[in-house]
Amino acid sequence: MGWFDPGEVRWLAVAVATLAAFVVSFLWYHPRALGTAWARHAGVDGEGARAAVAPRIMAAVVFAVTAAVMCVVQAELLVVSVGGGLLFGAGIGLLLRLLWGAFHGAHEARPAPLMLIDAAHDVVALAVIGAVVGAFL
Amino acid sequence: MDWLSFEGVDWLGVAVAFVVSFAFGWWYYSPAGVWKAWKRAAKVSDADMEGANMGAAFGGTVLFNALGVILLAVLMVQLSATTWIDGLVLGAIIALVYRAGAHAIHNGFAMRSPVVTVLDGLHDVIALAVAGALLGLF
Repeated sequence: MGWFDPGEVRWLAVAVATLAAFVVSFLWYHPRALGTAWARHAGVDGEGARAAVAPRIMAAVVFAVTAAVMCVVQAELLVVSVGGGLLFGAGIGLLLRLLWGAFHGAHEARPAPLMLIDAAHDVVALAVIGAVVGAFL
Repeated sequence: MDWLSFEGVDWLGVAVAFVVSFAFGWWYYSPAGVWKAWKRAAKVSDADMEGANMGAAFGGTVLFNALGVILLAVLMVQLSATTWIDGLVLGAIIALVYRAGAHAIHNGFAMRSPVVTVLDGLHDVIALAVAGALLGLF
């Protein structure tokens, strides 16, 4: 498995990308942005969701692991620029999050706006993670 | 975007990997698989399912599964991950990070049952790992 070299992980890039993804999420789900609409369609108390600790910890772990994997994959694919990383992250997000999110959401009969808000967030967050990783490689 | 090249992709392998992973999903979410447990955990009623656009859901499932397998095939070629074990591991990693991770975040904030996250995440990991292994064989 020569394609998988954990030595390519840039830990500073992982930290910055995780922080950047958190900023994206904070702004995206802010009540003045899409947070109010998200809570309504998800059928949950928006304030309660924003105050929840466990999902934040889970998000931090997922963002960090995602950034680490992006380091390995982008280094191997020579995606080593901000623009390249942005497009790579967005492309992966589009194919693996937006579309597959729609697949699971449709089977669960989730409201379309909810699926769109969540999946579009992931595309933007992955684009930002890819861009940060590209800048550090 | 040099990585986005279809050169070297074995389309017969893509077709086989898609059919097998799709068939797995069909079985997985059937009453013989985890359907009852998933439905209970997701709090989806029969009325909800009747109201859902199942035609679009089925069409989307076919299309999105196919695109996911094609993306995996492209990445395997570009990363020179050419054996079945390479494909198995790459498919599992991609599904775990990009799919199961997203389930965990969104289901967590929406206060859905963790069982839904586990069942959906497990499906995605197995489906893409199997697809990757089959792509590696071709």
